[in-house]
Amino acid sequence: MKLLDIKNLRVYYFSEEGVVKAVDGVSLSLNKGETLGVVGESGCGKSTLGLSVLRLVPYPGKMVSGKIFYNGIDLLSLSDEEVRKLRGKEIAMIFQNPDVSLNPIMNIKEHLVEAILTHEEIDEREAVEKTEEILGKVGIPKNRINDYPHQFSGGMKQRIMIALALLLNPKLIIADEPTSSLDVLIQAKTLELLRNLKEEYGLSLILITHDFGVVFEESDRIAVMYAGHIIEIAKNTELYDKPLHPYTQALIKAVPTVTPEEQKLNYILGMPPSLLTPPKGCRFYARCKYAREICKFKEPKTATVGREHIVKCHLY
Amino acid sequence: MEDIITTINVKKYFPIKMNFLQYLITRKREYIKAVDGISFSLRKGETFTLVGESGSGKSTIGKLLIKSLELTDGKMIFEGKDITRVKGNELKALRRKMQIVFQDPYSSLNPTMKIGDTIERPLKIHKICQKRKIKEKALEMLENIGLSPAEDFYEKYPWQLSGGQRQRVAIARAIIICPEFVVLDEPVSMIDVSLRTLILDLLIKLKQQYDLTYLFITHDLAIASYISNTIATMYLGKIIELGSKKEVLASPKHPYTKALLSAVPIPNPKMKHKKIIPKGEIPNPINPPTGCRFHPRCNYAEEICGKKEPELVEVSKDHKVACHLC
Repeated sequence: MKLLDIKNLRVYYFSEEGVVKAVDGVSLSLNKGETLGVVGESGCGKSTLGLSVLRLVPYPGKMVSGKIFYNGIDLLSLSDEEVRKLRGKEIAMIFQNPDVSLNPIMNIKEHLVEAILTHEEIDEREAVEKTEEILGKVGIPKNRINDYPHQFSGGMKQRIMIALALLLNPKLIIADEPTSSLDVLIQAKTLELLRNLKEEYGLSLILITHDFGVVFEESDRIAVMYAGHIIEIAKNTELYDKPLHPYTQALIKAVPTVTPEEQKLNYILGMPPSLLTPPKGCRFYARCKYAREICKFKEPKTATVGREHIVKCHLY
Repeated sequence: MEDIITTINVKKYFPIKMNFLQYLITRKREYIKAVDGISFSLRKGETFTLVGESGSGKSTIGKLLIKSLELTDGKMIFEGKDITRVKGNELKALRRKMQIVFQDPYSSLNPTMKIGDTIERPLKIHKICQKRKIKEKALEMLENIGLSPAEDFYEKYPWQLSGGQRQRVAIARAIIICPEFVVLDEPVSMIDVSLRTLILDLLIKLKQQYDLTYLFITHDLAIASYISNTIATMYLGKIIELGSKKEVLASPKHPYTKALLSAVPIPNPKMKHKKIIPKGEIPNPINPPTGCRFHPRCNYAEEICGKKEPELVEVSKDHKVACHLC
């Protein structure tokens, strides 16, 4: 059963320098209970994709075309008021940097209670009880409920963000680089917490990250983004065993692991193309070692190879 | 091989800012003990990597070694000479031999200076080569770091370059005066994955070409395992484990190093392993725990750990650990 179905989505930023095609024809679906990893380098459009699902694309960005179905409802046809009711209650987001996401002059209780009271018709006492319960789940002790964001460590702040996202029992969580600003031990702890809560609450998760280690450890399926396109989607182990797109292949070989042995690593020369004037053909053309004539002029179609393995490349 | 730098019991305390009233009330100055008694040596030609979580004192050590911070206590020896208190011209001469590359190439390059000027500047300051040869040398360097055609890059400004290119300029600026020793403070943590290896390989190439010694600072153990000869783990201002890459990664001894290594996500879905996560978080460096600093979080802690501070002692060849139980 598909919980989320994105069809041919295009999100452009109409900036002064021109139109930045951040998400340019992306189709993606998410099954109930699944963790989908979206991986890509900075500027490939993965955060914009995440924000689109909540209809939070900032000015001067616009969703130009495409559809996003959540549980069968077309999110783009809803009014602002209707979308606002979905946010937090059905779909919630965890952002990368809790320092900018938490209000420095509000204490933790105010953050959470405000969110509950906006969406639910209960009195404040009940809201505070609920707040304490959820904070307990993420490991923030009761006696710190009146503290302000600056009194917490980075890991704790990110756990408060997780509590905020879970507060109204959403079904879908979009986590945009939830652990990128954290140290490795805190990262492991936060990811474990997220995994356990996902089980407990029966959530579905879209995990946006640039870290191949994190994405391979946490996801059921993985979508690889490059320059506004999704270039490959496959099951976790399948993507590792048989990466099809030259970009995925090269990237997997570029990631170092912890080993006392000598490692031979790859890198990809050149840079991703500017999204102001993306190339006509395949966007990876200039950096691809298998590039042919056709790749320069014609955008590759998305091909299905094997079971649930999708790749956007002329080679297939 | 001979040692190029040796530190003996180096300490760096930063005083906490207090106003007069606070001082009257407490009557006590408080300090953040960023680096608290560290001794180690760098062998000539090696890449010595400091790993640890943020706040463990890695960057402070880097800055102490290149003399951009004054040390509170201890002694530093560079090429056989005591450099703990050098000043003036002697310090300037020393600076030619020690350089640093910072983490963020967006803030470490002057936006109003052309790439050519940025790279030439150290040559002019240290009056290393003849004036008419300066440009030639800068162009040669640009080619060497892979910014080609060099003539074009020479005339560009930082904003016209990508992050990876900027970081290469920052590296070129450090290396053009042929230093002996370079501190690399998280040089690839802001670079995209596809280009990280390129920068790391460039650093390895330059090290051989110019006969350099690196102090490499990183929080990423995978990167440490790619580039290092020697790895030292830091925790709360102390080195708790130090050894050759092979020793530390293949048979880590300190519970904290073991935890760090187990927590690194593995980009291979077939390798599942158990993560050991110590309880709690890094304590406050103003009042670090007594005894072993890690003992309140350690699963194996015994009575002695809370009482006596363990010393960094050799457990096998090329491998030192500060732990009572190892």
